[in-house]
This record gives sequence, C-alpha cells and structure tokens, in this order.
Amino acid sequence: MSMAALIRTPAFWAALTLTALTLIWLALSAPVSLITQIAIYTLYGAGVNLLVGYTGLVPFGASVFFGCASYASAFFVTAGYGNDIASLAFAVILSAAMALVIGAVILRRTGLYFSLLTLAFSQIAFEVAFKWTTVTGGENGLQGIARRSFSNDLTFHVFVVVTVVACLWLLWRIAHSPFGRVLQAVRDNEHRARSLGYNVYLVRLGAFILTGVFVGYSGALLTLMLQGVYANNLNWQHAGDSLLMTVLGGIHHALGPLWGAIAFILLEDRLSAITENWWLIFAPILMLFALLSPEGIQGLVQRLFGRSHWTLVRNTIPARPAVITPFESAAINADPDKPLLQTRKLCKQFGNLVTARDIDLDVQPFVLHSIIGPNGAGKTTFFNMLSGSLRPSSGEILFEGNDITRAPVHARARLGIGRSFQILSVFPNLTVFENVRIAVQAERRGAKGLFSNAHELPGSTIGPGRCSTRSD
Amino acid sequence: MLDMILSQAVNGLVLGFLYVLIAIGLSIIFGMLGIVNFAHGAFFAIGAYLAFALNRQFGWGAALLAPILTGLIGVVVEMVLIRWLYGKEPLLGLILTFALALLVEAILRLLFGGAPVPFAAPKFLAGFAEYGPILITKYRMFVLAVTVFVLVAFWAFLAFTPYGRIIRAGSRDPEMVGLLGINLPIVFSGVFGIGCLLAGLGGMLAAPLWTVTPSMAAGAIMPAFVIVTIGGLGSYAGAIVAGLLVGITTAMTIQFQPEWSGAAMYILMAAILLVRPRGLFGEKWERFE
Repeated sequence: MSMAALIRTPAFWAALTLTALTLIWLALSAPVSLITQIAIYTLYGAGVNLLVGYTGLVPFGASVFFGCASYASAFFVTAGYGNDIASLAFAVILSAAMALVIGAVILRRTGLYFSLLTLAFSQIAFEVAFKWTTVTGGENGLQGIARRSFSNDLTFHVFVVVTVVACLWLLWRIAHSPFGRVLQAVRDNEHRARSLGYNVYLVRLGAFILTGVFVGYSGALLTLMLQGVYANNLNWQHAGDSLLMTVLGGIHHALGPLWGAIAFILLEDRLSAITENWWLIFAPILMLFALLSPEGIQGLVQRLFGRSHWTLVRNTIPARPAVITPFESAAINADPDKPLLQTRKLCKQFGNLVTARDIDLDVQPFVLHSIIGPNGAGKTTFFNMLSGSLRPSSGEILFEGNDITRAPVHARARLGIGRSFQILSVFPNLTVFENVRIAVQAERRGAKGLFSNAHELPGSTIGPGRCSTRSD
Repeated sequence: MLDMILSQAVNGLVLGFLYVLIAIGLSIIFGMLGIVNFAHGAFFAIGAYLAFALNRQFGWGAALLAPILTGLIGVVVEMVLIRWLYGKEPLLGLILTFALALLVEAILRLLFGGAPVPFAAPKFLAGFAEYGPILITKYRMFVLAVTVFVLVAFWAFLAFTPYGRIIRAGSRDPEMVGLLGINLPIVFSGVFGIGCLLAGLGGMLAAPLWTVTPSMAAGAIMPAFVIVTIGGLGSYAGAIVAGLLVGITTAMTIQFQPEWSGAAMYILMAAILLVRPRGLFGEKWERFE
C-alpha cells in the first residue's frame, strides 16, 4: 500500500488521533484509561454505524451485544477457561452467534419495528443481568476480573488502540468491499436492490452479524479495561450512548464515530467534574447538533471548508480498462420455439376487486411484447406478479418451464427476469459509477467478497439477463 | 389465593390503563409527525412534578391543571424544537427527543433534587374499597375511572369530531391532509400538545402511586414503547388491548415471580411479534416499515 493510499484510510487518521491523545494525556500525567475508553467506544460506535450509516437500520439496543459480550468475557475469565485474550475471542464468537439468532428473527421487520425489537432484546438482557444476582452480581456487577496478560494500564491501552485501529481498518475494508456497497444500495433503495437480484434479508443479516462481532469485541475490551462488568451498559439509557456518539460525530462519515466518542467522553469527563447534573449542559449541545448540523461534527467541519458530501463512497471513477470485451448475451443460444416465460390462469384480487383474471401468456425468446391498456387495467399489477413483488391469488408463472410463482424478487432477478421501474429508481446516495457498478456486480456471482476493493474490481462479463419487463 | 389474583388483576388493569394513556399519545405523535418521541416519558414526569408543585402551593384542586400545563409545554416544545425536523432524517428526531428527555430529567433534578418527593392522594380518596373478594385502594379505583373516561372521550373525539378525523387522516398521509387545505403546522402543534397532555395526565394520576423522582420517566416510556409495538403501531384498539395485557402481566409477575417483573413485558413483546410481526392490530403502514 502506497503512502498516499495509507493516508486515505480512516484507520490511519484514527491511529494518529488516538496516538496524539495518548501522548497528550501522558504528558499531562492524566490517567490514560480515559483514552482507552474513547478507543473502545469508537469501535462500539463504528460497529453500530455499519448498521446506521451504511445499511440504514437503526438499532436502539445494539447494547445487547456490547453488554452480553462484556459478561461473556468476564465469565470466561472467572471460570478459568482461558486467559484474558482468549476471553476476547470467546466474547466475539458468542456475540456473533447472538447476532445471527436475534437478527434472523427480527430482520423480518425493518423501520421502527426493528429498532424497538433490538431495544426489547437489550432490555431483556438487562433485566436478566440486573436480577440474576447469583450469576451476574446484579446491581453490583462482577469485579476483580484478572487482566494477567497486561502488566499495567499503559500496555493494555496500547493493545486496545492497536486492535481498535485494526478493527476500524477491517470495517473500512468491508465498507468498500462489494458487500459494503450492497449495504449502501439496500439503504438507499431496497426495492431496486432486490430487483437487481440481491437477497436483501441476507445482506442485512450479514451486516447485523458484523455489527455483533465488532460491538462484541468492544464490549469485551471494556470488561478488561474496568476489570469488572456492570449491567448498566445494557440499560436503555446507555443503549443510546453509542447511537448518540455516532450521530454527534456524523453517521455518513467513516470517522464520525471517532469524533463522536472523543467529544462525548471528554465532555462527560470535563462536565461531570464541574457538576453532577452534567446533562443540563450536554443535552442542549446534542440538541443543537441535531437541529443545526445533521451531519454531526465532521459535517460541520466540512461545511466550514465549503465541502459537504458524505464520505462513505469514493467520488472518483477508476481508470477505463484498456480492453473492454464486447457484451455477448447467453440468451443468444435460446431455442426460439420454446417459450421463455409463461403464465397460466394468473389471477390477482384485492378483496372483491379483481385486477387480473385468468391471464395466459407465452413469451417466446427474441420477441418483444407490449402490454397495452387504459389506466387501471391492471398492467402494473401484472408486471408486479411477473417480477415477484406481488403474490398472485391463483395461477402459476413458469420460467423456462420451472414454476417460479412463489419465488422471491431477487431469485427471479437472478434467473434473468429484469425489471426497470416506472418512475426514476436509483440509489440516490451512490455515485453514478456506483449505481451502474452495483447492477453489474449483481450479475457476477464471484464478486460478493468482504475484503476485495469494490472500486477496483476488474471489468465484468455480464451474466444471464434474458427477459426484462418494463412498465411505463 | 383467588382473591389475591383478582385484586392483583385489578391493580394490573389500573397500571395498564395508565400505560395506555401514555402509549396513545406516543402513538398519535408518531403516526402524525413521524417523530419517535423519546421525551414522552419526560412529559409524564413533568405532569407528576407539576401536580406535586401545584398541590404544594395551592392544594389539589390546582393540581388538576397539571395535564393542561404539560400539554402547553408540549406545544411550545413542538414549535421551538420538533418542528424543524419534519421530513428530515428520522434519526435526528430521535436524538433530539432523547437529549430532550435527559435535559428534562436534569432540570427536574435541579429544581426538585434527586430524592423522591412525597405526594399523597387527596384525603377523600384515601383508604381501601372492598368489592367481594377484591380489595383495592380507593385511589386506584379513581384512577381506573378517570383513565377509562378519558380514553372513551378521546376515542369519541377521534372517531366523531372533525378534528379527530383530521388526526386520523393525517396519521395515514399528512401531506394529503395539507393539500386539502388544512393548516398542518397548527395541527401538528395540537397533536403534539394533546399527546403531551395525555402523558401529563398519566403522570399526575401516577404520582401518588409511584415514587416521584426525576428518573420516573424511564418507568413510563419503556412500557409505552412496548405497548405501542405489541398493539400494532397506529392502532387505538391495539394500544388498549396491549396496555391491559402488559399491565396485568406486569402486576401478576410482581406478585408471583418478582424477579421476572421487569423482563416480562419485553418477553411478551418479543413473543407476540414473532407470531404477528406487526403487532396484534397492526396493519401495513408505509411509514412504520
């Protein structure tokens, strides 16, 4: 990696900032654990922001991972299964497994239902941690978790900063991987992502598990930092902390969580030295940011320099490849006599209103069909049934002889049933290049990696693409 | 045993109806304004503290003004703060109201201190009433009667008056309501005010039953969220059924499984949403998805 490329990574700036803060605190001979805490919460916020900023899901209770992982590492150490470092790995695995189970259940819903369900899970975890005194220590928590691998606070601090920076680098790689781009596509326009052939549910679940991993790791680090664990972090008031920090820093900026964590923790530290009732000062600051600088601290700074754009995608277009292989459709070999798409007795009714009755249609290869009818004739309903966004009341749809009546939108798109929309449908926050690239990526099975660089993927040959519906 | 269960069920009803008062306000504010009002619990606390302060200064008759004052505070808050966030990123409304909740708590702490303030029911409502096997304090009966009355009245308001129709229509499509010539900014202020008034009423009624502390908001906002979700976002009947369900479940677990009393409603919520993903009475509303 060249120097210039290194400087471009947010992880580099995070490393620089955290190192500078550490040196300042050492020079002032102030306890460096405050900076350890900032590093931990930066990762916490960055993990949450993978859902909020990139995927467009707002978990009110990401603390369920943070808190449970911190208990997991504490149990692991006290039970003597292994040392403190092994406990981190255990906590991460447990947190990822929890994310898999919880995510699989609650990602059936998005929007406010999703947010409130995450909150419910974190509250259940809180109640268990708070009440199950014999195991979790209840209100007092568990103290005296040995941190044997680290001789003092400073070595632990260095460990935290190094691993947090490494995690931020990983997160950044993921964000710019083909998978990361799909997250943003899903955030911007779920329907379009689906009709391009992406399984939106699995994409979201993937993001949820990654959040579980990184938030879990930060939670386990907190246990080692405090050498103890408390139920407080699971409580809904603190469940909001990571979200507040991330929004304060700027959710549409890779470094937002870092600025947010610094501002939040330093202000908390300074203000609570002045008054116990420090929210009296801090809450108005947060409210001012929400009202005046929706893009948070980074957005504010950007605005001062006359730039205002998100920093989640690259604004450049990679170099044009020297040779572009001409597009060759696989459909060219289709048998012209065999119908490609068929509907049999396709019906759709909404209550008593019948919008489609017994539609039988054969679409042959190499033939252009138009469906014409007056307003309200049911053209769009018919297209929606073909593309899968509406389930027919009865009848069946065959594609190349296979029944696809119940296949979801993305599965049909992968078979080659494309769809363009009646009104403009794009990913509004992605660049023009990314809008096109995402569509191409959907066609290529091998390009869904977590770590490859989406921006520089080699030019692609396009897959099936055989039949497209369009309603105007 | 049976009379204990019955008495506790009635206590659960009282609790449930109090929750419903708070949840209905939360629900109409979210439905109409699209704002997840994390500060709703704060208005509940404001109602309780206003009732406490008015009662101390002027007697309990003046305390009855507490809900109306809370509603007025709500209108001011809407005009000064909330108004600027309509149509913006929903997360900002969340952050703003979350911070507002913490600010209100801090202000109450500043004015009244962190310790619980004593607040007793008026004398004529003191003591117990006995109905067959059911033993209940007179004050709880009073709360039950008032909440049921208010909920019926508010339902009638929503169902039969032109203003109620505007609110119901606006919850589905505020833009269209605006296009029909209704002055939306005023309606929004009004709806936020009504929501806060109901929360304030809940706070005033709950004050003699719960401990009045600056952090009492937490005890109101979480059940309200749970109820709105269980009942189905935007559903009046759903909120009532869910409220009673949560109230009775909580009361029963307090009596028989106290360790689980806190977690019970969340488990109920998770279980119900597993079976019915949009809650008991929830329909598909674009803005909640």
